[in-house]
Amino acid sequence: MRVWRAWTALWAEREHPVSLGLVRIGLGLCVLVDALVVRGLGLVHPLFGPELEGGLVGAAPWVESLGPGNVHGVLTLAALGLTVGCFTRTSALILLGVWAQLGVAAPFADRAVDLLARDVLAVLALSGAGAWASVDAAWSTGSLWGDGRPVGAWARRLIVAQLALLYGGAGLTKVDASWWPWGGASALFVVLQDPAVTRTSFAFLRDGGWRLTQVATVVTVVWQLLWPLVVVWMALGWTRFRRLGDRLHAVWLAVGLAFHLTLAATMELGLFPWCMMALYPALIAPRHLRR
Amino acid sequence: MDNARALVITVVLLVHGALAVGIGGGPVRAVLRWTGTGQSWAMFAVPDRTPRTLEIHAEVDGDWVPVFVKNVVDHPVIGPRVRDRRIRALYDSAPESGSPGWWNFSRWVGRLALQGDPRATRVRVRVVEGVTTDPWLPADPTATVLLERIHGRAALLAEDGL
Repeated sequence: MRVWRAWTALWAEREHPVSLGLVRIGLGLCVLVDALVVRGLGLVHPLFGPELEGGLVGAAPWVESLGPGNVHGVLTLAALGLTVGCFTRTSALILLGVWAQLGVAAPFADRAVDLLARDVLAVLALSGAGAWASVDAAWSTGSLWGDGRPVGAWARRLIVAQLALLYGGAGLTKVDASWWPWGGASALFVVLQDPAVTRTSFAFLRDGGWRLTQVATVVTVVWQLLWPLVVVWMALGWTRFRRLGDRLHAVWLAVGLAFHLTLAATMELGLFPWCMMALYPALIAPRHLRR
Repeated sequence: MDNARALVITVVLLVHGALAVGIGGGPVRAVLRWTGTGQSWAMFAVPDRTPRTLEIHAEVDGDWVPVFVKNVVDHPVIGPRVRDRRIRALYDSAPESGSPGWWNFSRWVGRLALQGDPRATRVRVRVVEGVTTDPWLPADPTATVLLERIHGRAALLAEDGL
């Protein structure tokens, strides 16, 4: 019973909305920029349009009847609404719904990062993410920054749990021997030889630089596998080991940012590295951000 | 209220935790499919040792001239479009027997190539599979053409009035 009471108290805690607000803005910006790039490159019809009008795989009937440009326009507006915090919950729900259905209509275009972002959108839609740096806050309190009234910390903690699941799961599913020392730790070298996902040719790594990729391979696997410990470290933040927890936390964040910035610089994975970094403010408790 | 919230969160965490390690699904999957949510991750779990390269050549005066070869020859119009993560799936994940998506893609990208060069009479769009060996082994130069489509300007002209 005592455990359940502590568990209940954990999810009932309230905090300043700054961390959730930053996640909302970051994720909204990622989706908005992606949507504008797709429109700018003229890819809306090829991706979501009917074959007779230039679609590459054929549209879902409902997208065809509403018009792919209109459906994508609603997605873009919802992403804008989420970013600026205008009707935040409604914008998040519309974005989630339209994005999910475009994913059903064109499953080949729906990648893991789309799934992840929608998971987080579902949390944001129910949270107080619009209570800071938003039009909603300006309307309800007269200040863009809101009145500082605390919101449920459960949403931020769920996003942290989502990150731990994602990274931990990704580490556990690395079944190929090339990810491990006994397989030569050549996985990242092999990945960097795939022209479909790299920004430039990394053939030069065969001349000696590959040893660096071995180190990076091991660091990646260890870092991902240990992610569930982040939850433990966050828990340390609520105990007398707070200082140790904060330090480990900072190291983990720094490695994560370096990992995703390197991915963004070397590989063409679309939204993935940017969406992941957009979720990182959830790892920082408002007491740190406001210090 | 606090108890109800904790209970819902516990269920959500248990369901998603089980999904993350590949356990369960059933009726939950239908909800996840319609909301486009879930826990289906595999980040390069098995690195691809037979990577594919998209190559586009235009025939000019009887010679095949490269228009776009990923990471070798870029094209200002084609490059940003075929690099898009969604478009990439149409050629990088297409079955070796081809697919309607691949055929439509080859026509679409072929049109873009021909629009950029009025001298070109035909365009060849193909996906070439290479072999990646471990770095301490000699490189393997094997290259196999997996998918290939050649389109004449006249045929595409009939479709689009090029």
